[in-house]
Amino acid sequence: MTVATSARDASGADLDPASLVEAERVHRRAYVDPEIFELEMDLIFGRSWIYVGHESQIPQAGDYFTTQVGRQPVIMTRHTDGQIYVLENRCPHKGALVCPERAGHSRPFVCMYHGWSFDGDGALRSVPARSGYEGTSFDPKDPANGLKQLPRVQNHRGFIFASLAADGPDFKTWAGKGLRGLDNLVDRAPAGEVEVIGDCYRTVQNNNWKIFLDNMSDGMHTSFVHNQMAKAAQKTIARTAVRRPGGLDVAAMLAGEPEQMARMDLVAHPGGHFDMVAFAPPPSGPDADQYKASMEAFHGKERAEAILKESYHSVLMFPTLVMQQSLQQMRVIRPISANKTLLEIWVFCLKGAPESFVRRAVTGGNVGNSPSNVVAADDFESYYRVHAGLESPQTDWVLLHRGARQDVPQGSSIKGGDGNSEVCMRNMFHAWRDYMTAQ
Amino acid sequence: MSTIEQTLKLTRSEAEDLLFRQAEYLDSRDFNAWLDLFTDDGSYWIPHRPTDTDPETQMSFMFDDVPMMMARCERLLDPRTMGQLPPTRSSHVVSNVQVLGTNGDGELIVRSRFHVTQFRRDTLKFYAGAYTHHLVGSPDAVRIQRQRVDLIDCDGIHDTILQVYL
Repeated sequence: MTVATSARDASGADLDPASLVEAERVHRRAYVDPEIFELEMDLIFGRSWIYVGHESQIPQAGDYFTTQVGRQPVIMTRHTDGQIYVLENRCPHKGALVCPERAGHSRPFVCMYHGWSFDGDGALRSVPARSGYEGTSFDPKDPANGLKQLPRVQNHRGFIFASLAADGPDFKTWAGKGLRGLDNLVDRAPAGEVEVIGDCYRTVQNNNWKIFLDNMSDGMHTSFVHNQMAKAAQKTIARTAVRRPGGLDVAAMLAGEPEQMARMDLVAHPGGHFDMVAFAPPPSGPDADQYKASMEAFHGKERAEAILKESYHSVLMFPTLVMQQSLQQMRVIRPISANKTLLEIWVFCLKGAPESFVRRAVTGGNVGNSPSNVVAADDFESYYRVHAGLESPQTDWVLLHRGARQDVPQGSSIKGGDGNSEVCMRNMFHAWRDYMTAQ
Repeated sequence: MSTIEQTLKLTRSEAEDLLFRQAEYLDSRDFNAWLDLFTDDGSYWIPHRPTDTDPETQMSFMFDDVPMMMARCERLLDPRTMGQLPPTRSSHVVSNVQVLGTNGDGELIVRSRFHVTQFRRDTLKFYAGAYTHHLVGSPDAVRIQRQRVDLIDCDGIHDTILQVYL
């Protein structure tokens, strides 16, 4: 095929991303090629809405959190006006990072190199010894000469997203149906908002970021990759009383037969987003009853029931945000290179929920997503092997055929014929191709 | 007072014997013997941040009670566990051992430093930090009530998931 040949043989100069994605196959170069990665940073991470952080990370004026939007280091700040700003973490003078720490409190921000200072909205506050700029094109008294604000920032119910592009679809258009998973997480808080628990975990996977995202809608892998851990959890539960709900009891559920995952609803949305329903049962007991009562008091009985019925195990807002609502966890991807992906992993508490819900979420985070977790420890092995396999040059295509003839349209979304369908991976790569070929 | 008479006392050398034995169990992958060193309600905690105080409500790098330790050891010993193909090898050096005394709960507190090297699939990885052991029992049957492991890079970026205890 000419398409395959051109993709394989193309030098960087005539690289054609459109040729890397077919209806049911993806070329290996989409995953492993460093030139493709650079294009992704420009065309996807430079244009899309990227998750930055949650407002509960920076409750007080002067609080800040630093991270990356694509290749751009940024500072998320709370200014004295109470508003949240996302600023380039780069001194306008010589380019130094103004905030070297991951999080903290600073009023004003002062660059360590020559003492330039900035307000929480980025405005240039002062340049020490202003003399010497007379007659130049730089005005040290102009507040606009400070830390640049990112062109677009959106606070959706406490979740801060930003875009490096001044133009493009607005947040709601970009999110579309993909927003229902995020909204469901917030709706599950009896006080109407969520809050981060402590600091995020940061783990690095030695694989392309899309190998990880593929896995997020891959129900089928659980029966194989997590089988031993699930059996170990089941064996332990049979031998001893489990004292911390949300850990071993959840891990024990990962060893179902592939048919178990087939029963899960899997829906792909425009823009590459998707959601997969939860398979872990909701908490039970007196605290769960109290939680349900407070949900009904806040939302009304009918609405509360609808919210609790709509429960997700895995949600992707392409390209950066992966949520596990039923575990109150969120993983944010920050790609470093074609073969390295940083994850920021947050655990949330539902404000107004019983204390035991916090403990349950903390236990789930420890067991499932910490730097010592027993779930991704096995996933990392498959990510490594997939990436290493895709580095091999002789065979080009990754196969995403499963379920392609069983797709069920749902408005503008597509429901997989069953929970083992590869519909969400196909959908993600079709969105990827749209980003990569947009003018 | 009788409670003081029942309190565990160890010389530094006796404390070292326990720490060295515990390290050797891990390095020889004798995870069941390692597990038997803990009391039934024992715990093993690697804080996520140096200042953390409460693993029940704060995120941890690792926080295992005995059921979780049992499951983790079970996973490590299953020859088909994906993340242990190939298995992790480790080598401990434990040093700077200090017997600090007894706390209000009658636990003997022993502080030490460690350097652990782990090897898996062509990659060496280093872990360094401090152990704080809370010990109970009698000198010939010492058990670990709590072990705190403070990694110097607990809040850093980690490109390997820690699978074998430190």
